[in-house]
Amino acid sequence: MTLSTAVDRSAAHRPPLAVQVVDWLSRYSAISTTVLLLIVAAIVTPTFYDETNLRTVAVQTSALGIVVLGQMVVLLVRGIDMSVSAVVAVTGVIATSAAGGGANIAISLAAAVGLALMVGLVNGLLITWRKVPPFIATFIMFIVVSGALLAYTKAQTSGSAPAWLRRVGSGSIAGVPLPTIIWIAMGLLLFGVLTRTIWGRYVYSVGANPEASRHAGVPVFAVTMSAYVLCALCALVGGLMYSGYSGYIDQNLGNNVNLNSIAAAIIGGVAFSGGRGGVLGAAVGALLLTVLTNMVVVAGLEIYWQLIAQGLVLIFAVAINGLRDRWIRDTA
Amino acid sequence: MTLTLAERVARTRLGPPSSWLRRNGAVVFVYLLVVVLYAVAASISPAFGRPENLAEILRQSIALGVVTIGQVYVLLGGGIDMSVGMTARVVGLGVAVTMGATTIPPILVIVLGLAVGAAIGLLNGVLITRIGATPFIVTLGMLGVLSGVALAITDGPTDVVPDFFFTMYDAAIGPVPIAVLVFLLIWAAAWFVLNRTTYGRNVYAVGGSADVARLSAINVHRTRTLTYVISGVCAAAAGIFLLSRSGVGDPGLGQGLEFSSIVAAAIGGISLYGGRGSIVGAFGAVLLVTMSSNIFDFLHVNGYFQQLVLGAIVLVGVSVYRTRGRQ
Repeated sequence: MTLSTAVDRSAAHRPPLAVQVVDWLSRYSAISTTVLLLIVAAIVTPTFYDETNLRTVAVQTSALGIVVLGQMVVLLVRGIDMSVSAVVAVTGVIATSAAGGGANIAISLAAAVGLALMVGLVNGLLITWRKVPPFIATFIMFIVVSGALLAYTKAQTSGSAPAWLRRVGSGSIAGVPLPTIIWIAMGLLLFGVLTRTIWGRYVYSVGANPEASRHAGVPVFAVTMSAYVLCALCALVGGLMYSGYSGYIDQNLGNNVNLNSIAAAIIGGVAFSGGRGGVLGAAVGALLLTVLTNMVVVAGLEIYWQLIAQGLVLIFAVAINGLRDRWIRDTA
Repeated sequence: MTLTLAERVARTRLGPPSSWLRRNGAVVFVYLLVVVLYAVAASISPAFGRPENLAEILRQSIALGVVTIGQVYVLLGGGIDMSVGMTARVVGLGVAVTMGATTIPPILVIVLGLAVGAAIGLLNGVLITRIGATPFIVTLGMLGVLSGVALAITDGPTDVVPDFFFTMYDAAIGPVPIAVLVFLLIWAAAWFVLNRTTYGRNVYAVGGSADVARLSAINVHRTRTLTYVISGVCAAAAGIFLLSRSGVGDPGLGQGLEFSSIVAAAIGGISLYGGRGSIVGAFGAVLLVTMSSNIFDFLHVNGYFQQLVLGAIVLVGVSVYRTRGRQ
């Protein structure tokens, strides 16, 4: 082999600038956009950095972030969970009605956990055993669960959250809000489990190629089931944080959690086609989405800019991922 | 056993009834449900079985039905369109506001509204095919943007529409509303294009396997993009029709149409993985969904329980009938 062909080959292997930019964006766009937003906030809307507002952003990010952790695991196994917002809403109502009825904490918590387990199991069974597409299965569960909620509450505002839950929502340790501590603890735990255990490896393997995983002896059924159960449980904890923080519960609780949790995961680099993504990205996605929403409020813009900005960020994120995948395929 | 190609073709064309039933199981199942449901409800409540109510069920199914046509095209082409509900809302509200604020002839406003729907679909299609973005997420982002735009147009009921619109909604030949006739014609046209034209064949081919379609010299990008344009126009038409039904620009217009159209298509046997299913089944599923809520009204099912009951029925249906996934 002559020197010139070797040089040619190395030149051919260096991707063009556009590819490099897209690849960099797909890796760091969420974090760099967040940093950019925080700088813009410092210049345009200094009130963003007021202590009360920072606390609001931290708690909202944490509540969403906890739900996103579960949504991410489901996305990793090539699924999607459209029932999280119903679980969030039901959790709030169960907690409140327990407070009104004078039942103790343990019983109401057990009821909420039982319900979340059931939702996760039914989702998983419909998808693995009955081969219903994840989107349809979880959406039907959303209809059933929120329908049951509607039948139970008669669309009345349910009232205020119990005192212990409000303490969790508004408490802090060393200046850090409790929900944020819970979120970080859950995130670290999930990070460890995903990267250091066999179950974590199975999750990525099932998402990357379910057929090959089955042939390799991976328990695809159990892994998929566990992903949906975990997601429902995360939605339960997220629901507790939402209702504890806002202090009251109405039928709008958890309204946008479905779309926001999926959007946050995708923005954070979790692949919709499964098998790619991680805890850090999902966390940054939740932060970006919350900061964006909060800045619209702080800047005094009309509320519809929230929806438009969220939508545009989501489209941008998925376009970047799409370009990256396409170029990887073309150069492969 | 070996077969010649000609014999195989003959078998697929004129196979035994059992294989026909297996291929069209979903369609038969849906229409069977429609008939059984109708018979049961009519025997319980005689008013339900009257011809006027049948026409009313058809009229109630128009909005969902038209949106479902577009959704079926997109799904068959291997995509999914989450933005249809908000497209209907933006176009419906936009048409209401434009008619209230300007003196542009109504027909022109309607055409403009349909064009806006086509433009939204085109944008979806270009983002998905040219950039390679995931259909679900792109159209979900579009849902967010459009719901913001709708909120920017109005956050309360606005602009009573001209009488012309009510005439359009109420006009009838004998007992049959003209809107229903047009609706049936649109479905017939949608069936014809899918089953009797090259474009329809291409949609199935592209959804079945994009790579094979590309090797067969089908323009995959253009075929797919056009399905989103069709879906956008259908959604816009549904938005305008919903406007004519309520008479005012309702800020809640089109809520949930994306989900109900996808669920209707799925119940009707359209594969969510693309390339498989018949639009005839989807029509049956639209009838089924609309008839169910109409029956609830006749049987005086408490409004707060309707969603639970409908959800439970669909849940049982889906878990009994095993959906066929990607082969």
